Amino acid sequence: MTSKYTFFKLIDQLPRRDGMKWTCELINVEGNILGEGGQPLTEVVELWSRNPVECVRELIGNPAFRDMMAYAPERVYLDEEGKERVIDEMWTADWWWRTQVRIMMFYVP
Amino acid sequence: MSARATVLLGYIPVSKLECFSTAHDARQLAGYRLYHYCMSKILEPLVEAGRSGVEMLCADGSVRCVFPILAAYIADHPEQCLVVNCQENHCPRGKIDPNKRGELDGCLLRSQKETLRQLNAHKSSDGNDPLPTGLRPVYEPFWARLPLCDIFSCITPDILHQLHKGVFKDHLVNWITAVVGKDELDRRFKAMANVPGLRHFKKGISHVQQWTGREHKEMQKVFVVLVAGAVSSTVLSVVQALIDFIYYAQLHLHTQKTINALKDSLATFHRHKEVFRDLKIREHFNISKIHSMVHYAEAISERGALDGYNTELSERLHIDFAKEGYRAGNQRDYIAQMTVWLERREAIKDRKEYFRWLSSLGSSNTAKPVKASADGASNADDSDDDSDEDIRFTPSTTPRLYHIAKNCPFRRVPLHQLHNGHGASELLGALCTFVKTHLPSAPALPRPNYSYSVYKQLKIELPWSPFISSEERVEKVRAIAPVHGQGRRQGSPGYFDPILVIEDMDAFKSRSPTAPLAGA
Repeated sequence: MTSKYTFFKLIDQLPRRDGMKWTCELINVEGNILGEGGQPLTEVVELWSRNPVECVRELIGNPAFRDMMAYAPERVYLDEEGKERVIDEMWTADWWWRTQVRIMMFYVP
Repeated sequence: MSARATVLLGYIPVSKLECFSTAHDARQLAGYRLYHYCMSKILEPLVEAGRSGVEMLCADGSVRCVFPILAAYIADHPEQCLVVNCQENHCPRGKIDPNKRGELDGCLLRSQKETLRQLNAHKSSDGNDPLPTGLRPVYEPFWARLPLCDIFSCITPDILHQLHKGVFKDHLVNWITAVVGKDELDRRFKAMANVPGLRHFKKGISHVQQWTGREHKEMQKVFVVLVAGAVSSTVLSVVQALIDFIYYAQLHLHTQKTINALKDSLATFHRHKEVFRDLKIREHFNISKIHSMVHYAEAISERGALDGYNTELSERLHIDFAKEGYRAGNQRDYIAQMTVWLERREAIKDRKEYFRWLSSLGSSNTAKPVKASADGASNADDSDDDSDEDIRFTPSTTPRLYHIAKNCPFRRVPLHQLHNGHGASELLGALCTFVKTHLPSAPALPRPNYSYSVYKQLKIELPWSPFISSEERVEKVRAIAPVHGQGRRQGSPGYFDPILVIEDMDAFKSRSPTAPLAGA
């Protein structure tokens, strides 16, 4: 038993992000060239992926990012009268605000 | 998320697709369709989640109903065209005719609804006519079913390839080289003074083989000044307009003023670009990277400052996620091995974070350090948006901080050495005046036999500007006497960086463009 093996065994015992497990899907691609039997040639390719919603869940809930998160759009101004608007991060720009409004219009909790 | 937290979602299969013939681009088209099929499979969970929302526990302890919506797709031009489904000589964001991309106006944003309609119509027809606006016959693009998605406005500007490599290096520098001459341009680069903060291209630029983003940025810093005098004023205004655009595009923070300045510099470029046609250097300006600039202002208003959409980041991540993961295995069944490697790395990272959090609980020091002082001199944490007053935008009114060496390199330097080595012939007189004016209670005035402690350089902190960067910026000022070579040791030249001192603040503040140095 090599120490590398025991090392990996220990790592594999660490808690894992369950939602972010990799899955492999086999895709059968059918071509347009006919083979010997008169059937189109095929090729099988692998698609490895993770669930993006679960990945978002992991990122949004990660305590390491607690102080860096923005959860809602804002309109930010340089002056008190609100005349000079500032745009920097995405939550201060127009698209997020508009999209948030659209979602709120149809959201039923 | 400004913390650049990124997760790898999938590996799309790359295949030669030899089951397709190469006639009529069938193989290429199959490749595009496979890409879109794979992307729709990977992003499938977003369809329902974006429609009804998903409750998630957030890092601050609250539960929120989260709607994951595709907000941006950061990629270079060929990949943008793959995603949007158009031919590469077209604009991925807009519908402009590929022959008319040299003009400022006329590129209307593509619409998802209209595009899907056109694709459906093409699918039901016999498919022999070409699709409008350069679309490719991929009938089920992955973004078709994503809720609230407008893929065309998700295509963000790519400063690295479009501005630095494209507009600046491939086009502007080449045009100017044609006007000024390769040797003359090199000569001007070599003649630049050696100043801290500016790269000195000692051998000129024509021989440099590999350009990185760094080199482009260093060239841009000096380019306007460098060509002044060698080109006509019209050409110079084109150069200035493009360099202005490149700098405005990189601001970390924008107001309507800066966005207008961005648009104005592009308009100025388009107004005067004909000069290159008159000089027979360009016949047309129908270049995709030049065209891409027309969409920058809108992209910034819609999606935010462009430092959040950096293609350099994903190129860096490619090295981390793909290359390193591949090398960590034995190159057999490598994707499976890479996923195992990735999962293990993430598990280790999580554990590390957990331990760090545990140890921070032990100490009572959980309050954020108070950085902003009463005079507003220091930086505020960018993440500190709990405070009522956003200190980011308070202009700094204090004198600048400076740094100097702790140990003085030259003590007891006699006055004559300062006269000869440093050329400071007025020093004694100036020092006496200073002492008389500002230190009237001093016991005596400096005498010729006094000796001095001399430092080599001073570092001055530049006032903090949220428009440019959240990091500290420092300017170096040197006063180094020349060193004569001795035997095998080479001498070095002296470096004396000039400073302008503001003597009359009021005159300086009210100065006009014709007297830019009034009061200094």
